Amino acid sequence: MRGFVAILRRELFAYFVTPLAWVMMAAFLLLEGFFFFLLVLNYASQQEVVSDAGPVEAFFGQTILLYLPLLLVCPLLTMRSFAEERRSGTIEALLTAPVSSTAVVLGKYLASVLTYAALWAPTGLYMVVLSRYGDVDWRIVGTGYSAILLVGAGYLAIGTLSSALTTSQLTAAVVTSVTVLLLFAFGIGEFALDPGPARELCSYASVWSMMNDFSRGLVDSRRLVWCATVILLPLFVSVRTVESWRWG
Amino acid sequence: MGLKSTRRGGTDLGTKLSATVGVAAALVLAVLVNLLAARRYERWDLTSSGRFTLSPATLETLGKLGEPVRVIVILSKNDPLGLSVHQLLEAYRAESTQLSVDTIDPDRDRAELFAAQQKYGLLTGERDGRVVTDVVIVVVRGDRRHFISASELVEVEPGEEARAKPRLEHAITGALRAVSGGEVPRVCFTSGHGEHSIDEGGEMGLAALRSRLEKNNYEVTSVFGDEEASASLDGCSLLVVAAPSQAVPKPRVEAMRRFVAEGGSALVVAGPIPDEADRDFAKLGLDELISLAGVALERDFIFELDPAARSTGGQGETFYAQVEMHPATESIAGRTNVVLTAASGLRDLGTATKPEVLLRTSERAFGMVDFFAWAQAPGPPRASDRDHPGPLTVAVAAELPKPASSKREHGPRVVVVSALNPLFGGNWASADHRGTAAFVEGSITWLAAHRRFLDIPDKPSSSVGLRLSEEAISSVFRFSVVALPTIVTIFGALVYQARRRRPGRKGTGPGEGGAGGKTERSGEAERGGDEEPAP
Repeated sequence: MRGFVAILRRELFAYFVTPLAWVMMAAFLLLEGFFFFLLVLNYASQQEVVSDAGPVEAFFGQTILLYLPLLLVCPLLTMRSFAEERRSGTIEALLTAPVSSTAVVLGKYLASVLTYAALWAPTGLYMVVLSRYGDVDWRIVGTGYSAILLVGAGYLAIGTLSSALTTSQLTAAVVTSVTVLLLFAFGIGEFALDPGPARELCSYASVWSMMNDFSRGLVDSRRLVWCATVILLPLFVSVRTVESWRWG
Repeated sequence: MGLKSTRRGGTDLGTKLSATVGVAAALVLAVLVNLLAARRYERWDLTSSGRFTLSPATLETLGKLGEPVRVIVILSKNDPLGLSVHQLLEAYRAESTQLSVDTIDPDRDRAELFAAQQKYGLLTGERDGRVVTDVVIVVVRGDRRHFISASELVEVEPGEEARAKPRLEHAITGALRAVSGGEVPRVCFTSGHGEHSIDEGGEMGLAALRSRLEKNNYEVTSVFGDEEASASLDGCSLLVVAAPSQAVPKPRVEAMRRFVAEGGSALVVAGPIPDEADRDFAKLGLDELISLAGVALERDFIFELDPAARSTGGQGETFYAQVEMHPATESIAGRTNVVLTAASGLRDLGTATKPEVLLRTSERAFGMVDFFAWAQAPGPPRASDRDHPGPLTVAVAAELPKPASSKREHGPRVVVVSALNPLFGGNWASADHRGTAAFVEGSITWLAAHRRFLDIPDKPSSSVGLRLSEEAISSVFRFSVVALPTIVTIFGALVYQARRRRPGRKGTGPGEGGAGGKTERSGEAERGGDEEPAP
């Protein structure tokens, strides 16, 4: 893992000195802020209580609005990781340096995860706002953000692999978007299919159901294993891909 | 990546093969681990209130399920309430193999919903473009079934702040106990004295009330009929005297009195009925039964003269009764009106039994004694000295001392309503008469005294809504949509400007390509590369 910390620092530094991260963060917060405002408006105008769940649960689950930014942000964060370096040829310099392939992949990946976490960090203030007008179960807030982090980490791992498989940033972004969208749509199959193994499979991989569970404070070991798979498998293949670039 | 032909001095084929096999092995391993995880899994309830953690009482109930029990959930998986139900039932299923859960999405599974409608007599309607049903969960074991409505799953706390207490576990465990041998309260309706039948539909029939009671897990039956039986009230938990229009034979009244004296409860609905000659009020013979509540039925006909409390049609015989606070009326007091038609007053007999008033008229109402003389030339009703001045009592409740032989938790309870219409089916069909229906349901609940499951602890309530002023909503908008993105934009611009002004930009060496590297990278990234050490 030689060079891991240096690569991580360098990647993080690069993210935040470019306007891309800030533009992305501003757009992301605008979108999330609008979504949060709609949520508040909905709960404030609700005439009768029809549920045992409040706005915190609704923020983390049961809405498509949460996923839209995810489907856009993750490809944008990872598209440059390897594709741009391969296109420009700077990857050669990196590969000849005394740095392991694992360190390269993990350094770049973790930087994207931390940037992703930084995008979400200001939304914690929404919870503070909600706590002023009602009580907030901070443990549910914790499980909700954990789910967001896990889902994002999986999508970023797929993005990292896509970037490693191509030399074009655009292609990497498109491949990531399509893969993530397919994965999301696969989970939605649990609502479309008749009961049976196929529906069970869709339900198992459903990000929608996972967010619904976590948004209610429920942590399921099946969800954790699935997330670990979506994170680790693409990263492993990414390491192997980077390794193959060193082959003679 | 991939296999390349091995060149002299290059990576050997074995390395490439092993890398490929490694990726394949990782894929297989991932599949196996997920298969294992799907079979053996754990769920942790991390809510601070333990909302999805089952109580020991529920675990005991599940442990004692000797036969298969089917739970049919008629809620969309996307419904906020449906989500909680499914998550809790997941915990139930993990504890018992006897429990099977089927879900009918009312918006999607139309065929299944229709089948359930036919089988269980569900009522459906539409709200906000979505299909809703009167029952959201049906628990079935063999021939026994128990219905749960949406309102039983959440207890809304009164007050300004929208707070609710989840009662899912109470409802579901209660239903499991009910179908596993719990006692089903039997409500017995009198018949054979001109009462409307419990099988009769329409505006005046009692079928709607019967359906409603069955959905609330009562067994409904009629007693007496045309038989001469005088003591067939065995097994009844609650007796309903359903507005007879003919005299009730004395032995039957005696049987009813004995039923109450031995601990049974009764709802007596009796209003002014003309006799066959249409010259006087018919003698129903219920005085002895009604007197158990400490009141007597006046021989008069109420007219409500207060414009705010009477129907715009008619002469004031249809009116809105004022609801007094009592456990039987707690669900409607202060919230809705009870519409009564053709009523008589109730007089306090001043006996040891102290009746509590449930419904009364306004002060401007009066009970016309010489009704039939007026009816011959009807005009605007005016009170005379002989008439009974308002406010008049039209419904009372009383609880009698508990007999020594009674196994019930409370003494006999009696509710008397002196109007003809409260049990009519039209009250359950019309939104305008919803208060009357709710009054009847509240009275029956109090009379039957459905026991609450005290061994399942209450979960704490939580905020389920927001009570925000216009100003507060505006400030949320300013903060979340305007301020936060603006702050981030300004901060980003400052960082960008600071980096541009920074002197000493230069290219970096190899190894920094991850973020900076060579000159092909964007200028900003290069500048980033200036500051950081190469790996």
